[in-house]
Amino acid sequence: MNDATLARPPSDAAARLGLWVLIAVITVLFLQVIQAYAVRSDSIDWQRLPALPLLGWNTLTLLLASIALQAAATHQRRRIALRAAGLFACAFLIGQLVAWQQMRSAGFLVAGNPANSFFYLLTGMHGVHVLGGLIAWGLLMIRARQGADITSGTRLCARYWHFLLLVWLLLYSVLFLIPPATLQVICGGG
Amino acid sequence: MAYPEHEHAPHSFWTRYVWSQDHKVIAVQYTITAIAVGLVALVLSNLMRLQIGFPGRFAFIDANHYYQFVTMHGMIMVIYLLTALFLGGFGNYLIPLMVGARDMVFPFLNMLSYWMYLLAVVVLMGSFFVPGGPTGAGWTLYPPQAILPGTPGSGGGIVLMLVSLAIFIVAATMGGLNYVTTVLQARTRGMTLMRLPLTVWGILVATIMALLAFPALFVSAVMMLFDKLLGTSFFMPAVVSMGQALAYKGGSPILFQHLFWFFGHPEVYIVALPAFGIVSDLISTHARKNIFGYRMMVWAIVIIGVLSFVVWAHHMYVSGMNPWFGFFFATTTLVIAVPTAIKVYNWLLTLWRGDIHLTVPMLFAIGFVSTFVIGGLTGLFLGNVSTDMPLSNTYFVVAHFHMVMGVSPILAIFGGIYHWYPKVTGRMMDDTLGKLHFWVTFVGSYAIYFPMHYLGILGMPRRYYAYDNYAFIPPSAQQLNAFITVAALVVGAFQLVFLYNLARSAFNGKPSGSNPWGSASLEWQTPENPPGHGNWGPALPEVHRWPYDYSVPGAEADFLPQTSTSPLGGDDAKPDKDTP
Repeated sequence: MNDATLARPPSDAAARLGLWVLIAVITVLFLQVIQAYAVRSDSIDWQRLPALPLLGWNTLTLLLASIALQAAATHQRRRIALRAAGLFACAFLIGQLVAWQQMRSAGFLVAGNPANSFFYLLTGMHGVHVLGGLIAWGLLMIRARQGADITSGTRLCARYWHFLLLVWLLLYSVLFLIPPATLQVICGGG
Repeated sequence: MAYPEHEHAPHSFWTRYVWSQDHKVIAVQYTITAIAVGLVALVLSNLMRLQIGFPGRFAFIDANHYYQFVTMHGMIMVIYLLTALFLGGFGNYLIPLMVGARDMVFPFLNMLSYWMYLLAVVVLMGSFFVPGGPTGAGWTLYPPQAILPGTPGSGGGIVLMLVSLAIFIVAATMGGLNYVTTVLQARTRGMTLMRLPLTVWGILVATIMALLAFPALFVSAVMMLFDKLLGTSFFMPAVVSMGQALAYKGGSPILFQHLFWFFGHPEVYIVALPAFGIVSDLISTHARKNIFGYRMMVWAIVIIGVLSFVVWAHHMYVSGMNPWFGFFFATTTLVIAVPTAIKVYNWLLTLWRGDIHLTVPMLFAIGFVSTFVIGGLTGLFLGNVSTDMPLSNTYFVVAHFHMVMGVSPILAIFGGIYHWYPKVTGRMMDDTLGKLHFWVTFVGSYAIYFPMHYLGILGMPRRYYAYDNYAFIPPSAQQLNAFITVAALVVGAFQLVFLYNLARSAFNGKPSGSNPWGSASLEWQTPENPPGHGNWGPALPEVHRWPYDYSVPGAEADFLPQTSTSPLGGDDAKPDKDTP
């Protein structure tokens, strides 16, 4: 009956749709910056950054967080998997901050070159979204402690994390793998 | 049947009216805040008209202040008044009631959305009080001038503006998630998508557009903040400012323009589509006639929404571009005239042989059609590259966009407020004052903006603080400007009549009863008026028809509410309805 499905908290279907809409918005947000990146990279002062080895390790921690959440969502030792996911996500964020430090001490300052500026901007934006995910994760942990059913919440959390992983892989490719000229062709030139 | 909401209805003043999660209260909060900040923008516009109409007479309006007034007027009106009021105000109030839901799907997020919006407004208003004052960069905030010394408010003013915009976008996204999810997931039994009132369609599509367009503004605001505060060169080219070479180099101001207008043009339709929807519902209800071509109206809304994402560069013809780009964007721009014209024809055909009641909401709705057609027609001039070039920097553009996205949406907002006021308060607004408000606003708007078309064709440049020593501007232009200023002051002053009516009627208005306009749509069929917490009492309503069953042949009343089980009337989709 409708009355039951409309009682709070929002139905699973509504929460799922809400998350999809959010993912769409965040996707557009990052695509806009990547488009700007493509346009801006077509200038003579552009000097691409070297990929730090640390960023590879960070990618691994984010991947592990995603896997742990997936495990939690599919009921395998949920508590432990959830905690591990949080831990990995925190490790990722700390790793990113250390990467910023390393970049800075290597002389790649935020205003030094537009490529540097985009590196800090994109990683920063991504980090903020991971932080948002950690808040959702924290709320989930609180609800779990209160003994509430967190099955669907965990599933949504896992989906969001997979999305963040995909965004990170895309950003990593744009920043370090795809040649700017190729990117300009993909994005339709400046 | 359990009805959990009722037990959880908030009781204390604070949870009920301040930290409320009820969509109706949040809607009122949004509306009052938007109107308050809109009043500031109205005063700013009058101040700037004082300078143009009577140059030099008011010593406190120097060039810097003038540009600050222009900038803040534009930004407040477009974002903090129109967008917030249509989506946060009307969207919040009407969506759950019109689709038959107890509330928004995520009430907490909804509350958060309002408080973020309020924070954005406070930050923006704060910029009036920082050293150097608010930004005077023009509402488009084009770099490099927006953040360089010499532009008023290039210190704290522009920073607060950008921060405020970013906060607003977070607020709008929180609200938008709710509106989309609620429309798609929380409709009551029988409420199919093709039975939604056009108001909901307009708000839904506008919300989706806002969700997809605002990120571009967010990105440009954040990147400009980087340029301003961290010294990056996203948008800033190498530049010599006040005789000093700055550290910026290689940035692209055009990139900012693309990002800004990728948001900016959809923004026009973000405020137009809800207006389309509201006007459709007002016209149908007050002409006691079903809306003509409901499905066509829905598709026109969707098509306009899609098209508006591929026209943005028509704001940049004078920035220079590949002629093929200009050709492309001129074509897409002019194509929008087709679905828009369909809507106008359908409004006229709804009115045609209708039982037209010239109530205050109806007057505003018809006024909207008039101003929108005028504003839309001048859009055809400006959509063409060759005619846009000479007109672009003149008052012709000011006249165009004020008619089409200033006056028109605000008339729809007024119409909507007069129409749904009895729903919100249970009382009617005063009719005489309402008509006075309408006629002064409507005629006054024409008095303000119609002459501006002539000034524009004459070549009078917009954005200028003063017009001394321009040989091609005849003295008569100054007289016309003085006339426009007087008209603007009168229209501005008469908005106080509206505010008085709004405030006074809440306590002294005539009790309205549950459905004063005899409206068929679902929001008027609640068990209580104004609706209580949870909207629908113990049981959700069941919907059996579209919301436009007016003057159905054979029916007893002149309308059949959406909840009626009568075999008469029915959806637009049912062809050849047999009448007994």
